[in-house]
This record gives sequence, structure tokens and C-alpha cells, in this order.
Amino acid sequence: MELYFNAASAISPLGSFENESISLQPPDRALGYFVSREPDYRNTIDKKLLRRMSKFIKMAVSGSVDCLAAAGLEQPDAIITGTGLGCLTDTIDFLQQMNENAETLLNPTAFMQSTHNTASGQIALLLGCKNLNITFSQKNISFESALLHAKMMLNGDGYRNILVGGIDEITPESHGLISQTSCMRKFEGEYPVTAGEGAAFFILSNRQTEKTLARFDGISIFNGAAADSSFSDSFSRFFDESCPDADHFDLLITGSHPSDEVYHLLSEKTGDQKILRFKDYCGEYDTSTSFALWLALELIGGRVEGSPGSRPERVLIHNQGSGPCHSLLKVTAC
Amino acid sequence: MEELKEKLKVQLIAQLNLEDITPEDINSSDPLFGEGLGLDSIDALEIIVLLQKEYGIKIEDTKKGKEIFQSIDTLAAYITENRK
Repeated sequence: MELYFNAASAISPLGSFENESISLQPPDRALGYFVSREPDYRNTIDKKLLRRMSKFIKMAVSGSVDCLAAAGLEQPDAIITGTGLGCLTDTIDFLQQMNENAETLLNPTAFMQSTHNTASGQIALLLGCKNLNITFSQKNISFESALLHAKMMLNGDGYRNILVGGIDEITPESHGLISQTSCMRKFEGEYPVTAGEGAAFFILSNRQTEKTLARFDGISIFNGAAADSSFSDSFSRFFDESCPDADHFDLLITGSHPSDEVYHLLSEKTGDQKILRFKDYCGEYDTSTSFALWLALELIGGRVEGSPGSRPERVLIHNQGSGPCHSLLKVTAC
Repeated sequence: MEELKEKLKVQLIAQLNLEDITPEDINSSDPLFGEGLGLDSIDALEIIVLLQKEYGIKIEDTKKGKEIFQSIDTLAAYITENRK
């Protein structure tokens, strides 16, 4: 069954929300990490609800409301989100309170809002949506897992439009901790890797409409840790199986780094096609593939100023994070 | 008592993250829940934690909450009578 992306909305360091077209300019690096350019949330969320929401939830709710409006839908048949680290601000608040108050006198709001499913739950509450809502938290393939789940549901019976999203936020505290660990790949020099954040939401549907942005041609996930031979051999095999038509893509959007082995493998396999490193614009975070997908749809729609080459029709998206997993997504203009 | 009321207004704004509201916007006799500030049951829990943390007051009988939390005036009076 063919699937389509019928709407998309993103809040990102690129200033992607509510803009008719965006410009591919690297965001400000002054903080040492990229932060999202947030809209005035009062345009999409009731002020009384807004006061309890962290940036994570605000980005998720605004992104999903905007996405549903773009698709002309009041409610989706399911809400499926992915997040690597969940509601960090509220989690940190809650842990700090536990520490400062010797595990007593804990404020209820930070506790309630600190679970990973808060975003999906808040979206469902706001919409009055009693359909399935679920959150995948699988490190750097969290969004991919959500997308895969939505794809399988749409291939079954009873589902037509599913809201799928990826959200992660960064705080000064989390950036400090992540920087000290191997949770983020570290590259300096010409192509530094900067931590980032964002939220991107999509309506994935098994019906093409006049609003359709692109066709979804599949997703594949590769776990390098489970490979039974060298990385390059096993990744090559995975790539060839997932993308036998690699020569036909107009653009490769990748989250890999020029210093990565996989970057060179991809360059060889996809020939002379243009390569766009999307993390130069959103930073490194677990659900950054959702930003890459949003960017691919914008490029296909011709809404990006300063994009490399001509307007692409077939886009291949690759991502990898600090873990052993890689993903490939394919989208095609309709 | 007036000083306590002003302090409570500042604490409630901070604790409940009441955006765009200043202490001057809160009338001490206005209801905190429903109309007035429009607080809800989660805010009530936040206020219970605030009373215990800042004033050492533990509300044992939750049924009294509705009466105590009626306004800044009633809250300040309860604190004055029960603070440790």
C-alpha cells in the first residue's frame, strides 16, 4: 500500500515554524549548542495550559496542532511520537527537588510532566482524542521506530491518518552532562558537531490528497552492533538491499559526518548526487531524523532558499547517532 | 498580615508559573479557584507543598482545603494562625 505525507510542521533552530519559505543558514552557535527558534505559543495553546508546559511539550503541542491544521484534520487516527531523552527540563526539575528536599515535598507538576509519554498525552488531551497514543524511546532511532509503527498500522485495517512526530529538547544542564559522556559524537575543526533540539510532526496517510507533500517510499533500520561481519561489509549489504535504486536519487540528506566511515560509503554508493548534512542546521539529537524528513519535504516542495542544486524529486535520508544504529528513509515527489 | 499577603502573591505567581500576572493584578479577597485566578486541582497540590516547604504547615484535613484556599486573605489568615 502506498503511503503519503499529507502535512508537516517543525520547530527547529532553523526557524522553520510558520514561515512560508526557509533559508539554509547555519544557526547561531553562541551557546555551544543549537536551540529552537520558538514561535509565540499563545497563538496555538491556551494560556492557562501553557503555564505548566516545558519547551518540550510546547514544541510538541504547537507542532502537532499546526500539522493537523495544515492537513485539514481535526483528529488523527493515532498519535505516535518518538523521543530519545523525553521531557528533560521537568525531569531535571524533579530530580533537583528530590535532591534538595531529601526526597520529600515534591511538586506535582514536574513529576507529572517528566514522563516520556507526556507529549503524546498532552496532544491527545488537547484534541480530546481517544485513539491510540504511544511514545517510542529508542535512542537515536526513536522517531524511526514511531514512523515504522505508523507505517505498519496504515498497512492494516481501520487507519487512515496518523500523526507521527519526533521531539527532543536540550537544556544547559543536559548539554553539560552530554558533553562529558560518549552520548554525543565529538568532531571539531571544519565540521564541528553541535548538540541541538527540535520537534517535527507529520500526517502519514494511506490516502493521497491535494495537500500531499510527498510519497513515503520506505524506512529501514540497521543495527551495527548486531552485524556479523565488518561494519563496511554489513552496512553495504544493508544499503544495497534497502536501496537497490540508489543511483536514481537526486539528493542524499545525511546525519553522518565527513569523518565517518559511513559517509564515504554513502558517497561511493550514491555516485555524484548532492549530499546535504542536515545536522549543520538542527544539531545532533536523538530524533533529528524528523528534522531531516521535514527538510526533505520542504526541498521537494521548493520552499527552501539556498538549497543545493535544483528542486529534488527523490530524496534519500540517512541518519546515525552515537549508537550503532543507522536509518534510511526514502521520499518521492508526487 | 499585609506583608504576608504580598509575599504569598509573589510566591504563588512563581510556584504556579502564572504568566503575565503581577502581584498587583491579584485582589486579596478574590477567589483563587474557578473564577478569579482560575486555579485548578493541580495548583491546590502545589499550594499544599508550598505551605509545608515555606511555612512548615501541613494540612492534615484535606476537607478544610477549600476553605483555606479560598483567597489570599484566607490563606494568609490560616498561615498566621498555624505557622511554626
